[in-house]
Amino acid sequence: MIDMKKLDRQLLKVEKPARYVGSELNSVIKNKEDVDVRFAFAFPDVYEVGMSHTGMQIIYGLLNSIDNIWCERVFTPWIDMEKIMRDNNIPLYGLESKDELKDFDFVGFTLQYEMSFSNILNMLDLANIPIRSKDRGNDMPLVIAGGPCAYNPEPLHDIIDLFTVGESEEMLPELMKLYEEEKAKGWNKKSFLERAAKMDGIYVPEFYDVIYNEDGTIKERKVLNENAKETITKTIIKDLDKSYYPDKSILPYIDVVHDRVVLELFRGCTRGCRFCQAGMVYRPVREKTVNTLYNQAESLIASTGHDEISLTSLSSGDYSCLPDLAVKLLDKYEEQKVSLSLPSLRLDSMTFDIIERIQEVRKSGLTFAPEAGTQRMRDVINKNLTEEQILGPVETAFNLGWSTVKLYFMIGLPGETMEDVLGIKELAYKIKDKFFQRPKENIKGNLKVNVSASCFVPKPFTPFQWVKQDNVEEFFDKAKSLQREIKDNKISFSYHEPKLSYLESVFARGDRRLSNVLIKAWEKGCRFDGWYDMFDYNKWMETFEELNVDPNFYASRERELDEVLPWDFIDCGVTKEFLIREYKKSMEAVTTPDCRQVCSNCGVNTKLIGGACPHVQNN
Amino acid sequence: MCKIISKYSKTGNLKYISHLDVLRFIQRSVKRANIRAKYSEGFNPHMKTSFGFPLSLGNESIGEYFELEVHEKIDINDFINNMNNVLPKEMKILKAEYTENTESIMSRCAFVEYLINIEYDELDIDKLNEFFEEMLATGVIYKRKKKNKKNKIVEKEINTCDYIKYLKAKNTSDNKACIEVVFLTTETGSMKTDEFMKLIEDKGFNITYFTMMKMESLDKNMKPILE
Repeated sequence: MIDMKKLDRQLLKVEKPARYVGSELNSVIKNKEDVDVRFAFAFPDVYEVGMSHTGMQIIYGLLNSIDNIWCERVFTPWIDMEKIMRDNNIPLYGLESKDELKDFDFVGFTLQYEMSFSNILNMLDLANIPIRSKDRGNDMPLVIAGGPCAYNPEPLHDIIDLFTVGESEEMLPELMKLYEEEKAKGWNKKSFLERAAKMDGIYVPEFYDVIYNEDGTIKERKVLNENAKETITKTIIKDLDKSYYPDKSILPYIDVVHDRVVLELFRGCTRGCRFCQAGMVYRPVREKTVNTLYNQAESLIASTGHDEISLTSLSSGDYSCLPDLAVKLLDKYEEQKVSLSLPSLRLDSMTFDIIERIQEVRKSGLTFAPEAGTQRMRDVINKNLTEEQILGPVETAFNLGWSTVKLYFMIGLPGETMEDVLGIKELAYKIKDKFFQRPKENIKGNLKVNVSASCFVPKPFTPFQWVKQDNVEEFFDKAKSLQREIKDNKISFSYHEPKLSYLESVFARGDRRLSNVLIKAWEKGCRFDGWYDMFDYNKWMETFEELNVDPNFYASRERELDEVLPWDFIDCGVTKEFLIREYKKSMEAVTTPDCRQVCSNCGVNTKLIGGACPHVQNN
Repeated sequence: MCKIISKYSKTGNLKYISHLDVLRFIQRSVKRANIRAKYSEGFNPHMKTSFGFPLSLGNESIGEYFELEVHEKIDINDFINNMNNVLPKEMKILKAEYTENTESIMSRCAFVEYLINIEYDELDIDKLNEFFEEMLATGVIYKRKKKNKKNKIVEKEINTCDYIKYLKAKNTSDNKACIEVVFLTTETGSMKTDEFMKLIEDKGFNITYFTMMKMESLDKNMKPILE
């Protein structure tokens, strides 16, 4: 255990000391003499962000449900705490036991967004664990990683020992079993990695080498170890309804980003938006039953006392039993004032009678995501949403008494013209008109339309994985034009920092050569890059230059369709042929229907990685 | 109206939890305990609770209070047991009873009693008690920096003798002592334990480690709020 008195004397000097002490309700304390495997679930961001992540609650509960495994949590210490830890030689520790991370068997990072990568290095360093995989011998914990960014693991290949690709509720306990076996035999890191490499969904980067062409593109990948597979196929939960879900969740004492019970209605999405990585890699759609969800809500509310249940998924309006579930939950919790929230609702699927009932408990703002301003652009990205399908529901919402509307857009989408960009303004103004073009007696409240634009980042395993991202100047040009054009005190406009999206794009589609860049940038002091006031663009650019790596090669280059992409060795279920078809259709602004109408033969229907897709038609 | 006043503890790592967070945590505990609380009306209903003076971060306490309005009278022991079943070991309901008192906990509280345990390598307890005598008799003046409404930093002079009612240090074992102190809580504020500790350290007493425990909140007759 770390020196607790030393920690105690320092903690009152930092902002929000509760981030660093654990002891929350439903956190798990085990006797370390009774366990065989100690796992640190590491979230490379601050406590409040990490504690809002449902995946952490699932893995934490799952691993701790196994008697001889103790899973603890660790988050990135904020700058003030980092300084105190370094000045006083306090190593990074697990929140539950306060044992230093070095004493664990596994440190498992979740890769939720690229801009958290530098925090991974910082956390390892604070724990006195060497940054590079090759520098960690048999006496060091295994450093593993999973989550959405593991679909392109290469920028972290030098750092992480082993990646889990896909959904790991079933695979992780198997990996732990393998570890126990290997540990019992006498621990040898390499022997463990060799056996793990044979499992589905496990990628061990040191067993491969990559050879490049003169132009910097990939010539070929070489398998260096006979135990390693050519292709890594994602793992997936076949029966989500019966899959593990925690019956209690850790209740943070301090205010966190999402402070509520989270129910996962389903995984996957049938919409096929072309910019959306989650919509591709989580296929096929798998729903939970109302009964299961209701029971999960009941035990989670009973164990936490939360006053909000969030019904989450990639597109919650598409859940086939939404009205049934919502009404049941609202009836049950009427007196306890538990409210429902539906964070990912599509405009066209809104069922207003449910929304109205939800508002009886607590009234909140409405958020819509048209993503693009013109019909042509929405067709390019396959949003499958017409202007009538946007304005209709907005009008209904106004008539029901809403007056605050949030609208999410992207700028820099493939093939976007200035006309498309200004279409965002046009749409916002039409929404404003809908508010005032009603009989005077119906107009209540003060209209506020909040328009926000993020900069498009092309992601692997989407039909846009080949496209060139707008450069920083183009983004600024588009954002500032909108800022100039939107001159209305009812409509506010904000946009995301283009430089951040540029760097995100570099790492999203990066290759092995970025490991060195990452390490160097971290050495220069880069961390918390996703935090706008911490992000130091110049330091990053300096690093690229010093290492002679061109960031534009990754962000601002259009790839040939036959180029070997750094993530091609991963099989996410969707075929490259499908992505190419979708890419070509996007260039002609031709849409692809929702999987529930017609099967577009994306690949999951034939490969059956996740069992039968419920929307397959034999055509 | 059915109103319960409860005395509770807040110990261990919960000393790092701020007052507002405690408020929310207790309200959630009431829900977990299935106690039918009353809520305010309106778009954003709130559980009807009220609390005593905020406890500063870093202090433990076995003398905290809150009031809760409930729908119907339930057995007070059931209330205590149901709450304690869902509360962590660092926070427990110590006492509770129904109350008709309409005066707020804060205005009823006139004094707070603390026990501060200190550790040191070398320290003369008699000298420390001499310093304490000075604090009580003539007073020691220090400056408190505070942000005013315009977010400007302003300094306020504070004299210890206006805010300390009782103060004594006793040796407990080798290199350890405990300080018993009773602060006044007035409308114009109170003295904070960290300010008190800083005065001691600034005077040259070298303390290696300390813990601060609020023992009780007392009314104007020096009686606990809930006896």
